[in-house]
Amino acid sequence: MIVIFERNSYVTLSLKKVRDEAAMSNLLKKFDWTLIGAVYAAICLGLVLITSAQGVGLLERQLLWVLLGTCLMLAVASIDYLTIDLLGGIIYVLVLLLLLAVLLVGRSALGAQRWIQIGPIPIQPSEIAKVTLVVTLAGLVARKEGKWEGLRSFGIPLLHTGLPMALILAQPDLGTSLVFAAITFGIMFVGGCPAKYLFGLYGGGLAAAIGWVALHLRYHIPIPLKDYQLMRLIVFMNPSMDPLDSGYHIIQSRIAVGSGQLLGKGLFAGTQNKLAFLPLRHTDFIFSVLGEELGFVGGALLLCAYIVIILRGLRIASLAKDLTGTLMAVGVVSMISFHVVVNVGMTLGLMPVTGLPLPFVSYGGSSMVTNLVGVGLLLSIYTRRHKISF
Amino acid sequence: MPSSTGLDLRRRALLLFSVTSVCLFGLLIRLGYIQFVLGAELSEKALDARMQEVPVEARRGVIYDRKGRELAISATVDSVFAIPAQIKPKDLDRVALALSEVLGIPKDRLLVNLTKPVSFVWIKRKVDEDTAKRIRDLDLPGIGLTPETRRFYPKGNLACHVLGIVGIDNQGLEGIELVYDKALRGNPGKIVVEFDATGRKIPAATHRYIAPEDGCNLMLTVDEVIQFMVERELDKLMSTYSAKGACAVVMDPKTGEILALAARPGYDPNEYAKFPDEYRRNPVINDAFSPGSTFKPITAAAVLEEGLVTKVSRFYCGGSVKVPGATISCWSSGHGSQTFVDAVKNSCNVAFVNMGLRLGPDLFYKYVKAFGLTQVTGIDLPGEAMGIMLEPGNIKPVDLAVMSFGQTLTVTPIQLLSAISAIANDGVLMKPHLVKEIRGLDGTLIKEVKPEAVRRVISQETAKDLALAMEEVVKAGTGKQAYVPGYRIAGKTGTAQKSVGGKVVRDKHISSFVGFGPVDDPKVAMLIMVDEPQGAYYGGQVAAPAFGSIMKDVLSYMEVPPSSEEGREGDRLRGVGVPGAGMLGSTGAPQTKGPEEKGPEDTVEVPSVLNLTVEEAKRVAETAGLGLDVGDQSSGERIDPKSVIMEQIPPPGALVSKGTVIIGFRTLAGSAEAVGKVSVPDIRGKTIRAVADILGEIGLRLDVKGSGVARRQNPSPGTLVPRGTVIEVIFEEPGAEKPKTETPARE
Repeated sequence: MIVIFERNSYVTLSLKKVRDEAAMSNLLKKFDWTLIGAVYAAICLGLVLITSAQGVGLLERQLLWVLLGTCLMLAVASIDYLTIDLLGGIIYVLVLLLLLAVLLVGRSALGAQRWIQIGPIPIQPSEIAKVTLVVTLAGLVARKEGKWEGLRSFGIPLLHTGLPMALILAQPDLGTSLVFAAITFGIMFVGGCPAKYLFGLYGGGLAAAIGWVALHLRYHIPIPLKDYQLMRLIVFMNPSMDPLDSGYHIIQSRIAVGSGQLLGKGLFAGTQNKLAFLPLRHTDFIFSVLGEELGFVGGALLLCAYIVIILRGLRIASLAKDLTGTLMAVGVVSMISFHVVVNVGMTLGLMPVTGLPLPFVSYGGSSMVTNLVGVGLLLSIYTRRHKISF
Repeated sequence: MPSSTGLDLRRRALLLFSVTSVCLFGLLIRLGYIQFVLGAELSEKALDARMQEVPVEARRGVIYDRKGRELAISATVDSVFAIPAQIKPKDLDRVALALSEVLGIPKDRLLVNLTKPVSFVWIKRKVDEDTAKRIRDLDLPGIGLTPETRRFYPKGNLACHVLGIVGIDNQGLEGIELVYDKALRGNPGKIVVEFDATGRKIPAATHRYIAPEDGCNLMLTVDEVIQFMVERELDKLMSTYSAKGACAVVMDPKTGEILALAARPGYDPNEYAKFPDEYRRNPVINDAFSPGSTFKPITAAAVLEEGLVTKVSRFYCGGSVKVPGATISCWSSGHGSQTFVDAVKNSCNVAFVNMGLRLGPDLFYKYVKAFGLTQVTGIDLPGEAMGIMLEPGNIKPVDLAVMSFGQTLTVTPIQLLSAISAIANDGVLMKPHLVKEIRGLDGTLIKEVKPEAVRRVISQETAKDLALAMEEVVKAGTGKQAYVPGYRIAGKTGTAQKSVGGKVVRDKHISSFVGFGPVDDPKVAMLIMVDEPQGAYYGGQVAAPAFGSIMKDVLSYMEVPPSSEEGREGDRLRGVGVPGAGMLGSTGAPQTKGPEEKGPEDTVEVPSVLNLTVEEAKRVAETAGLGLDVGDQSSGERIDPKSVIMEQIPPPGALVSKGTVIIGFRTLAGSAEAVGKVSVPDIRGKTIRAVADILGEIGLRLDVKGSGVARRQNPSPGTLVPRGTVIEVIFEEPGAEKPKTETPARE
């Protein structure tokens, strides 16, 4: 802890001393430019696709979000992640209060209360909660130092995740709460939690969920899911059952992606996109626009960018100077990769419709800022990777 | 930190990375699968999702008369359709309400159609221009207009039984429209319109237009003017004799071309639903009648051809004749001793019974068959019927005797006329037909119907002898009233008692006349039948005068030169005058009027009523001693006296008898072609001011060249041009020898 304190004070001092520029350039030199390159390539592609999907009207706002996200990313990168870890408890409580506020005074959109208005800006506390969970859970698990014994050792991290997750489920936002589950899985797995317990927990949970839905469908056993959520699960199995309503997204998305073929129909030339057959084409279904307009080549390039981001993220995790850094990096990678897999899987008809945006690409400020802050965390861990030997 | 934990940590991180990467690769594979394996199919779906098909009807071909005058045309009108999938539930009520107001269809009925689970549904077919515009202006979601063609018969009733009718889908239902439906109909096309997901038409998007193949045009053998003349006489017969029905067929005996075919009561094919269905029955083709004496030429031809009698063979008629089982009386109390020719002339039943008995059943049937009376003629109209005859095997002499003068057997009018035409055509039976040519839209000849000889029935000599005998019928026999001054006409009267349910009814007759002319070179063969005339009923009284009247007009119209000197000398010998020979185009000394003439029967030249208002036209027609019908008589609709006559029958300059009714056709509502087309008037000799007035009144524009009075004009008088066309008129100073076209227009 002393060492940490010293390093921390060193950075603070140096920042103060050199008055930004020299230190900043120093910091920039230590950045993982491959990671940043991949992230911003994805962002640029996203901006083009948003323009194609909805015109230049949304482009300006998205650019503003990118700018804000970039600032926050740099800010986070410049702060030692261990400082953030120290503040974790406070942030965690604040986020819980925000989530509670959503349920009480939140704005609803598309059948769920997810937003609260702070001044002119609508914010989505569940997004902030994701990064907060990464930071706080990583700290919590890291302090166990791989000792997983007794019910308490499982109970505390699970409770830590469970509190905000329950509040988000109540909005209801099934997708985001699943992101929590994914982050928790990643951090606990790498944090040394015995595989049999972890897999038992997640496998059991999944099986229970499937069983519950099946029982509900067959015997009408009550289930805490809204009708539309249930329909999404049902049409995922059989999209043609309700092609004009619940199945519409899946069918139109598949048509869009499929009709793109190798090289696509060309930017701004996708008929499914341009002619508004694709729903939510600038947000959840933006990958379908990509598939339609730039074809397999475009889709593969974006997936490669994600692979680079994940690869670099896990490299940072393994290079991190301590377990907290490692687990934070794992949490960020888990968060991003889960989004990618679920979102792309959804547009390709492999996953049910959950409403998770595609990181860096989908339109939407909260998601953009959250993910860039995540990248900021990675950079913060990366620039401070050099261990001071004991 | 123990290194083992560090290693374990790295291993786990690597594992997590691998799983994630595998997931991403899985997605890549899935992407490739969708795009390459399912790609083509899904591309089609993408296209299908935004393409809606709207049918485009092919334009139904035009039916022309033999001179290229339009009898049936297709005008483009709009039809309202809906694509239910494009109407959102929230718009449904609004759309239905708006449509209901404009189209006058109850809202709940519209809602049924608008919510049908189909991709396309008609809301209202063939709406008028105004309605179409209002619908277009409303711009309702999911509601569209597509051009369709509406069949239009510009001449109304004229030739209705030939033309027939079409249904709402322009499918031929009756008449020529049915028989030539395939040629006329063409192949429908479609517009594939691209719509976006909200159902808006995409401007400048791919509109695949699969053009319809328009139908072929038909040229009939029918001549509109002859048809008019025939129908005019049928109308007269109907009103004079309060007849139940009447029909007539005019045929070119040498080719089998039908020049006119008409029946009464008639109907307007434009509005056929307003008339009783039975009016559409075509008795010429669909009904068999007892021919009565008009059948006698067939019997006569048989005995002559078989050499059983000669022209000079003598027959005795004492008023009746006994045959095994019955005594058959003649219509007269007795014709005494008479030659074969006289027997024909007198229409003596006794003589024909004798002829029939001499023939015997075998020969009788042989000729009946040869003349085509036991089979359909094959004319190109639907539902041709066949006469009924006793089985040849078991006929008794009394049957044969009665059949010899045309009783107990029935034939259709077309069968009978074809048979008689064979006599006119030197003994060769021709197949009657109504269509001359089928042409493609670009005018290419697709099919030409050539005259088709069925068979030779009798020798030329027999035919000639028989024709002469039939000429006597008109000259001095029962058919005197069919006489046409200046022409040699052959004919035969017929008066048959109708039988109802196998029993002969005394007071119901079919009065008929069949004949042809001129005898030396027959151009026209004609049959007229009047069903149940009241008052007079003999064929010679009822049908023969109508026959003569039509024949006179037709021969004059066809510019058939009057018969040879001998013919006319013969006329003169019998004291029958040829009045007004001048009107027939031949010069000759003034002729004395015949005794039969009721008075000075004047023939007048039809004045032009083209481009005149109905009021003016009526005045012009009355001044010339003619009547004018502008189509209000059949439909009873009120005619705007200010509407303008566009076309007339007979055409200006035709020679007709006084009292003839000219039919004027006014501006035709609903017909795209007819609307706005006017005939260029003859303005030569008029001043600039007068010309400007005349042209202005009918909507033409004037281009003045020169000054003075109009000398020349372009287009020339009588040309049909659209309203608004500029007519170039060259004016010259009166008396000026040379045109001064260079002089600038000045007033």
